[in-house]
Amino acid sequence: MGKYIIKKFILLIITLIITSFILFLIFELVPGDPVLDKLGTRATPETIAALRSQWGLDRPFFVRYFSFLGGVFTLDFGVSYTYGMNVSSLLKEKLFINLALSVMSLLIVIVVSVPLGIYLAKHTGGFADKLMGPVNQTAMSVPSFVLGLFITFLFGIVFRWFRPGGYVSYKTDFAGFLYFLIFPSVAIAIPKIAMCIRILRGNILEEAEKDYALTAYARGNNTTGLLYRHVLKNAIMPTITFIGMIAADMIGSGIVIEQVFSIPGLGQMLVNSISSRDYPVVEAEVLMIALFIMAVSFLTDMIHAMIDPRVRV
Amino acid sequence: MLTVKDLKIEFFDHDLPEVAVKDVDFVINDGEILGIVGESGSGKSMTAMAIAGLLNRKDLTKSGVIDLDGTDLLNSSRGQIREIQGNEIGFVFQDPLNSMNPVLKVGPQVEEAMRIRKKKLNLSKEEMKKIALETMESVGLEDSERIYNSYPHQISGGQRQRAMIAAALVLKPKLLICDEPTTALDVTVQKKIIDVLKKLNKETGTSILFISHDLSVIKAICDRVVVMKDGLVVEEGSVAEIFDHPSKEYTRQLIF
Repeated sequence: MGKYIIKKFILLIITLIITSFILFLIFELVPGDPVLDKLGTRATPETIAALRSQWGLDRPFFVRYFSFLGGVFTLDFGVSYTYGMNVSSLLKEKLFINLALSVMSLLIVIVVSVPLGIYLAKHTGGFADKLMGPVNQTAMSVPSFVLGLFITFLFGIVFRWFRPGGYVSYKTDFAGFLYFLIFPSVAIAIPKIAMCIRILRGNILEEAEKDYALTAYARGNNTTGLLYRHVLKNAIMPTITFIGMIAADMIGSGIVIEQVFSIPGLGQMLVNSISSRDYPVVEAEVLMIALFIMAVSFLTDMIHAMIDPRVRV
Repeated sequence: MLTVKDLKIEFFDHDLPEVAVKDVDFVINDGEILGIVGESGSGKSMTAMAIAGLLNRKDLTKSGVIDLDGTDLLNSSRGQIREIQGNEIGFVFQDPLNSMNPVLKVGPQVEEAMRIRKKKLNLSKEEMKKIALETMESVGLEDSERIYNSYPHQISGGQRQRAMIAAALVLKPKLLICDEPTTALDVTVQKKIIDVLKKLNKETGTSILFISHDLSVIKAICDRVVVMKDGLVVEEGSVAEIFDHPSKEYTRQLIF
């Protein structure tokens, strides 16, 4: 197991380096010059050269890449072209908001879909199972931002459980911040919950048909014993993989949802910094998102290996 | 000890009833090894599963009598059947790799029949482990401690099948049902598994119902044989009778 963790961790580092290189290369190749963008009509050859050396853009590509890569490990991404501020301090708060939103959505997905999936598998063909078919289909096909609008209307305006647009900063009131995040998180989570339930239910039923399940019955197991001692460990694996995969989607949905709920997260800044060619900000943002996705997939790999001995090679 | 009388199993295929097993009668005496032989689709596995209480699909109907020392297995409640499964009837399946849970160690799987009845048996963890190790050794797993702590994919096919036999035997059942237990194994391993079963039968007097399509295996292990075809019993008799003087054309075809 120790070997497996080390192997996966080294792979994570390699992936991070490759991702950072491709990312850096892309922004090198995109047309448009941030220096000209910033100076606009006031540009003279002297001011251009001055700004270029101030931003370090006169250095060769690889020198700049390695200084960026070094920054990845020290979390120092230089200075924003637009705001003239340190990128890390600029993004810190926004990143935290988006991470909190994504983690909360993931937790909601897990907490709701696992018990429900098990329940529905146990009661296949029952009323709840039959009802869940169309409900699931609906939940899967409605996009998160529409759900966000619906939740804002229902819980914000009709029930008044929260104030629409009334984002609470985590610095002033952490509990209030978490409470406010529940609503956008639910909007992000609902379609994923529907998918997770379907995957888990299907896998439980599939595993329960396998030979080892019959063997377990032949030893005198009842359905509950079979489910928890045997089937669940095998059946939950595709769901874990799926949850790892939707982590990437969580950030994407989060960027849209934060607009619906007026949360000052990464989204607006990402759009602005791309259009103003504020590369240090864009690179830092994209890399942080990539890091989050990698961290989640690392975590799901670990859980996988903990459950399934055949993975630990 | 086990009497099967007029056993009939029907299933519904697209609402049309189809008979899988019909008019099956046979008896297994105490300490006897009875073989059921037949080609695939002859209903031999279905008969075995019905005896072990493993045919619970809703689209199946069963009728007749399966009597194990006075308990009617066909008409008992699910709870009563569960009490018998793994306790009075042990079941060994064809493919030891697929019949083991890949994510559980061998030990807990061998012990499981005991664990399910932990409260009733009043055994501690150490006692259960001791019984499991002893049972594993009795079926020829000398390296029992290591195998106990291995995962199924880490041991050989022969070891797996021995472990599965041990798992079926931990509670010393009266009847051991083996459904093609050697079919998925190499010929050399087959022979060893047969020896293990024969030894077990001789030393403990456990009755064995041995199902196979392979007549040479049946000949090597059984006392008596039931020949099945298309869900019906074609012929029944001692191994010597069946092999030396087969009375039915079908049996003759199977032998030659």
